[in-house]
Amino acid sequence: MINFISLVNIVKTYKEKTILTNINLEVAANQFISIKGPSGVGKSTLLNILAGLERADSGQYIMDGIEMHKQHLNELSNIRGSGIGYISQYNPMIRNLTVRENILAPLLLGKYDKKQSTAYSDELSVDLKIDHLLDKKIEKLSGGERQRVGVIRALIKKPTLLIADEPTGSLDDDTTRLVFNLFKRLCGNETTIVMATHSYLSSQYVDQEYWMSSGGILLDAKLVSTK
Amino acid sequence: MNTTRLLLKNKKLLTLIIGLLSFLFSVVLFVLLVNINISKIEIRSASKFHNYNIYKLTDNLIGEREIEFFKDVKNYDILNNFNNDVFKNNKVVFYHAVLQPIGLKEYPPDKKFSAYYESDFNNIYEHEGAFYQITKSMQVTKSVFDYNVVELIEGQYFDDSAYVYEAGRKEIPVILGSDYRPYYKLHDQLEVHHYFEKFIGRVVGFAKENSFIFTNNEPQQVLNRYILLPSMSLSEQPSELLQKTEVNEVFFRALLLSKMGGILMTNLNALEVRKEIGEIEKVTNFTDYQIIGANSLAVDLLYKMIETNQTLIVTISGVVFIFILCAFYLFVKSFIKRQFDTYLVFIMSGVTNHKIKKTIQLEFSILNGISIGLALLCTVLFMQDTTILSILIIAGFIVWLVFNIVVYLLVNNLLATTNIIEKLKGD
Repeated sequence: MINFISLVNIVKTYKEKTILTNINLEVAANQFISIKGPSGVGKSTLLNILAGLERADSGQYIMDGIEMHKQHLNELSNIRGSGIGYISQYNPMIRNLTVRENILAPLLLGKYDKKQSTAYSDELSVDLKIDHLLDKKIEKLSGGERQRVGVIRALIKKPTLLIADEPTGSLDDDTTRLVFNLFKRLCGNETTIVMATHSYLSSQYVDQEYWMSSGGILLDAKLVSTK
Repeated sequence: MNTTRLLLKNKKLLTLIIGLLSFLFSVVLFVLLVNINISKIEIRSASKFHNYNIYKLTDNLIGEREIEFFKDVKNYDILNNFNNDVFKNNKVVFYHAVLQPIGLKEYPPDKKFSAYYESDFNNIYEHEGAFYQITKSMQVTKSVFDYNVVELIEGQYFDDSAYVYEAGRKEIPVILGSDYRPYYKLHDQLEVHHYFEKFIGRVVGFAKENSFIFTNNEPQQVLNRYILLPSMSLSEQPSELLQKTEVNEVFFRALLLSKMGGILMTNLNALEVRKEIGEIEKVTNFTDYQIIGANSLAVDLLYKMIETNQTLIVTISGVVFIFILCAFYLFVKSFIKRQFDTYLVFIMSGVTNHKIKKTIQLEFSILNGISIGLALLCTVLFMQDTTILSILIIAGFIVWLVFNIVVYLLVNNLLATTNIIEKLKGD
C-alpha cells in the first residue's frame, strides 16, 4: 500500500521544551486515523505540522509525494489551500455573516462554481443536520452547531487530506456519530483523515488509532491498551 | 478583492467610522490649505502697505474757492504740474484707487452693478435720448496693480499708454469684475460716460473672482461688481488740450481734482513728507492742498488680524489633526482585532500571514482613497476654489500615504505579536 502521509523523526521544540520527539507515522491514502492522548502532549502541534501551518525543527514529512519539510511557509499555504481541509480546536467564525456564507468563505480565495459548491454545502448540511440553519447569522448558533459548520467549511473544497483537531469536542454522542459517519464515508471517497480526539466513539469508525504520550511519543493505541 | 469586500462588509459600522475619520481629516486639511492660500494673498497684499507710512493728499478747493480757482485757465496747468511732480517724485509712491461711478449705456439687467442699488436712489438717467445707468466703477493708477494681487481670469492689464489722456482720445480700456463675465466678453465695447464725456470702454480683461484692492476708503475693496478704468494723467497742459479739443472743461477739472484724493506711500515721516511736497509746492506754485495721516492704522490692524487668524486656524487644525489621527489609530486597531477570527478562517483555508497583511492594507488604502477623494470633491464644490487644486491633490496623496503608513505599522505590530498558531489551538 502506498503511504499518503509519511513522517520520519519529526522533532518540534517550543521555547527549549521538546513537544514532539522523533515522531514517525505512516498513513495510507483514504485512511481514517485518530490520535488520542492527554491535553498538552503535542497532538495539535503534530496536526498543525501535517496541515502545513507550521514546520518541524527536523525530520521528514512527505504528503502525497510532496516533500513538505522542504517547502517554504508560503508554499505550504498554497498546498493547504488546494488540498488540505483543517478543523481547528478554536473553530473561528466570521461574524455578521450567515452560516452558508461562513461555509463558502474559503472559496472566496479562488475561482469556484458557486452553484455546485452551494449544492455540496447543502448536502453536507443535511448530513450533519444543520440545513435548517443555513440562512441564520452565525452568532445565533450554539457551540455544537458552530462546530458542525466548521466541519462542513473544512470539507467544502473536497480536500484530499482532512486534519481535524477535536472536531466533536462540543457535540453530543448522536451528533458525534453523524460526524464520524460522514468522515468514514469521505474516506471511501478519496479523502485521508487525521483526527485528534478524546471521543470514546472514535474507535468504532477509525482504521487505526494512535496514542500520544507525554514527551510527544506516538504509539499504537492497541498496543498501549494491551500493556 | 473578494476578501477585501468581505472584510469591509463584515464590519460596516467600523468601516464607516474609519472612512468618516479619513474624510474629516482630509476636509480639515483641505480647508486649512485653502484658508492659508487666501491668507497668504491677503498678507501678501497687506504686507506691501504694511512697510510704508501712508498719507492722504487732499485739496482745499471747495465750493466758491474751487469756482474761483478754475476761472483762470492757468490754474489748470498749475494743478496739473503739481499732480505730475508728485507722481514723478521718487521718494513717494503715488497710489490712486478712487470709487467714482460712471454712466453705462446698455447696462446689464442685474441691479447689483448700479452704484447706489442698495438705496432708493434712481440710478438711471437719460442723455441725448439714450438711457445710462450710474454704475460702480473705480479709477486706478498703475501702482494699484503693483501693490495689490489682482489676478486676471483672462485678458491683460492696462498698458502704459492707457494711463495718459491725449487730445481726441475716445477709447478707454476697462477691466471688468468677475460678475460681469455672463454679460460681456473680451474686446466688447461699452458706451460709458466718464466725467460727463462719452468714451468707448474696450474690455481688455476680467479680474479673478474675489480679487480685492486697498482703496482710499476700504482696506479690502472687492472688485467683483466694478468696472476698472485707468486713472489718467494728461499728455499736454490742460490749457492746450482745452484749445485743441471740444472736451468740456469739467472733464479736465474732475480728472485733476480726483488725483488730489490720492495716497502717498513713503518711508518718510510726516515732517519729511510735508517738506518733500513743500518743495513741489514751491516749484509749481500750487498751495491749496493738505497732507493728512491716512489708513496706516487700518492696514496695520488688518495685517495683524490676518496673521492672528492664520495662527489660530493652524493651531485649531493641528489639534483636530492629532485628535482624528489618534481616533483613526484606535478604530483601525479595534477593526483588525475584531477581524482576527476572519483572518484565522482565511489562514486555515490556505492564505499566508503575508497575504492577510496585504489584504488589510489594501482594504484601508481603498477606503481611505475613496474618503479622501470625496473630501477633495466636497472641498472644491463648497469652497469653489480650484486655484490650488494641484496642491490639494498632492496633500490628499500625502494624507493617503500617512494613513497607509499608520495601517502598515499597526498591521505588522498586531499580527507579529499575536501567535496565530496558538490562537487556532484555542490558547
